Amino acid sequence: MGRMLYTLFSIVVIGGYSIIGWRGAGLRPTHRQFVPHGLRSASHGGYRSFWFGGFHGGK
Amino acid sequence: MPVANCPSCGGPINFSIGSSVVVVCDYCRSVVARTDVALQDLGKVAALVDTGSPLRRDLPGKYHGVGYRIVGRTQMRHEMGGIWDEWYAAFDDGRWGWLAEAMGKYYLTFSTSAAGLPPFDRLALGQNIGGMVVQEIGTATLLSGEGEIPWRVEPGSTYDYADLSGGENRFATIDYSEEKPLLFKGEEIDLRGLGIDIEHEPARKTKIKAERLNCTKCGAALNLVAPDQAERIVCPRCGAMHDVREGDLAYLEVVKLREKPRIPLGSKGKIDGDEFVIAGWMERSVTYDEKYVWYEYLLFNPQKGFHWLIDSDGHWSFAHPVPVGDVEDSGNVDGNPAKTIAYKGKTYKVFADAVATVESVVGEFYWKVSVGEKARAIDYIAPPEAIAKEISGKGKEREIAYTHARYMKVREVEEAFGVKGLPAPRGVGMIQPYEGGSVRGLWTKLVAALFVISIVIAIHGPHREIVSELYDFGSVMAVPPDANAPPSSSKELSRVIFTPSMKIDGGRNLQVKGYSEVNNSWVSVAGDLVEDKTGLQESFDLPIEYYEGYDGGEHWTEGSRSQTVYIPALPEGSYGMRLEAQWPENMPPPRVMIVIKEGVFRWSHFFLALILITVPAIWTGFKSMAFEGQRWAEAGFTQLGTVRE
Repeated sequence: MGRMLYTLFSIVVIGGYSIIGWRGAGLRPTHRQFVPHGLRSASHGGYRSFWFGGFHGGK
Repeated sequence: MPVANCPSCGGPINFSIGSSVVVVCDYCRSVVARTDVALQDLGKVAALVDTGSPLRRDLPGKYHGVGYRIVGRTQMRHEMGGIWDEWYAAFDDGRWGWLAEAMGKYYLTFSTSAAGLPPFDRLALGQNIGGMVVQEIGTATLLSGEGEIPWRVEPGSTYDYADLSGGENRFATIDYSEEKPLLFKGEEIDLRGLGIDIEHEPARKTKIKAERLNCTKCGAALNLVAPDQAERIVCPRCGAMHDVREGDLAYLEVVKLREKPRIPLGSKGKIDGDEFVIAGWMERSVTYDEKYVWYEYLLFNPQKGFHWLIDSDGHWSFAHPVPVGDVEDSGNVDGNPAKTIAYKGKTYKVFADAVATVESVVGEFYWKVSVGEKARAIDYIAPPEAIAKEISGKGKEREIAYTHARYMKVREVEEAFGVKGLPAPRGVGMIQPYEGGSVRGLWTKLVAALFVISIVIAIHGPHREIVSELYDFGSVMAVPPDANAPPSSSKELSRVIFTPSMKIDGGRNLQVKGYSEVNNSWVSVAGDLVEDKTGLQESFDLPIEYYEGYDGGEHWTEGSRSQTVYIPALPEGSYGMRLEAQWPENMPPPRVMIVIKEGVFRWSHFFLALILITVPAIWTGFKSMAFEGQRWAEAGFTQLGTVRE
């Protein structure tokens, strides 16, 4: 019984690892933001200059 | 000299086989030998004992394509009291076959030339002679005979012998009846192998005159299971022990039963597809610092012979005898046991070595069992199996026997014999298997699979380089001071570079690697990837610092000129990148190499998966070790085979 459970568990782990590994996916959760559209529009030169307008991303 | 007259009684005797040495007169039981000049009367033998043998004189057979006819037999008595038949088969090719019959088994041997056989007084039980093992040493007394016999039978004479087992049913006997020992080699064989169709023979007689007998003491019915093989019968009701002598019961003594069999005598049960009847039951014990008791049920099946069902502390095992020659055992019967023995390719570790004593018996037995009977019992285990080696007898009359046992769960025994309520096992049994199962082998396979998968992913995974650029922060203008930021006292410089948009397939991780030729300084790169349409922003930092110098004449370094970060998968899209670098003012604007790859293999995932499959394996291993520890705590030996102090 224990061996069977271990086998099933290991299949799940290796299967998951194979998918994650093949896709190169990350396991870490992300805290992404969106640059406000208004800020981007207001900034002269589009998103390439909005940081100069006072937005410093997620940092 | 085909037909002559008995020199004793004048009756006709017939030397039908040219090479027969003596003929036993059917009328007066005189043993008549032929010499160069005349017939010689060697004396009379006793009347034949009815052994219930299915064989008879003039019975034809065929062995390995060669026909033969049984022309005579002798009856021998073992020192322990048992009687066996030796039949003599005259083969069509001129050979004599010695066909011994004992306890329902047949051994066909032929005289073989042999040199270097040890003298009887230097023979040892367990000794290896020409690849065969001495399993029994004894002395036989000639009791009776009939027909034509190929050796000079002296009525009442005794001779020493040794039986050897060579595995795969090979069998041999060394006969010490003459000055130079004689070797007879052959095999253990059944009637079919002897080419004897017993179905066409008259009904087999039995040693005991009826299967239903009554106890000579209390009159209770004795329902016999194997009446033709019984040597001792103990009445289940009053405990009266009887010896079987020439078909009759002879009362010996009353055996006191301290316990009763948990499964009644006569019960039938099916084990491994064969039906067995419980013929007898015995209580045995060994004494270390205290007495340990267990119970053995003698089971009988007409085709399979005798087997054993053993109950030790509620742990059951099913056992059957195995040929001595099939067991690879380097142990000396009188010295220390071998640390391991092998049987059918499996290695068994020595577990216990003690003198086992019969405490009480009931039922019928195929040997002359007695209370107080002792045998050296050595147990070797490879759970859920065991090999028990028993050495019995005294002085020169000794015998080795091996038994193979396998563990049986209580429920399996209850179902086999239709009984309920057998006690639950106590502690860990000698060959009780660990129910958790071993995952060591499985773990090895899983790790190998993990490794192979990792290599495949690392080589063939869908990784792609997105950017590989050297960014010169000296070529862009400085970042204007933030009007809202508090005044800073640090003397750092900062500049920003925006890259052209880049295509990211999405759904795969990103590896961002930064490299700068800093020396005893630092540069910190803050990056942002921003999707052109949605504004989705992912940030990362690459703090690069590298210091080096000499201390006491030794070169030292600290930090690294490169930094790598991984970013979880982003949605597919076109992304621009903003890189803002900061560095100390005493350093010129840095140049930073940025390489971004998508779908990068990560060993950290491999190690995480490895840990996940290893931790349960270690836990299982610890549980298994604790179980084994409990098992071996009861052993007379350590797991390394040394004697436990």
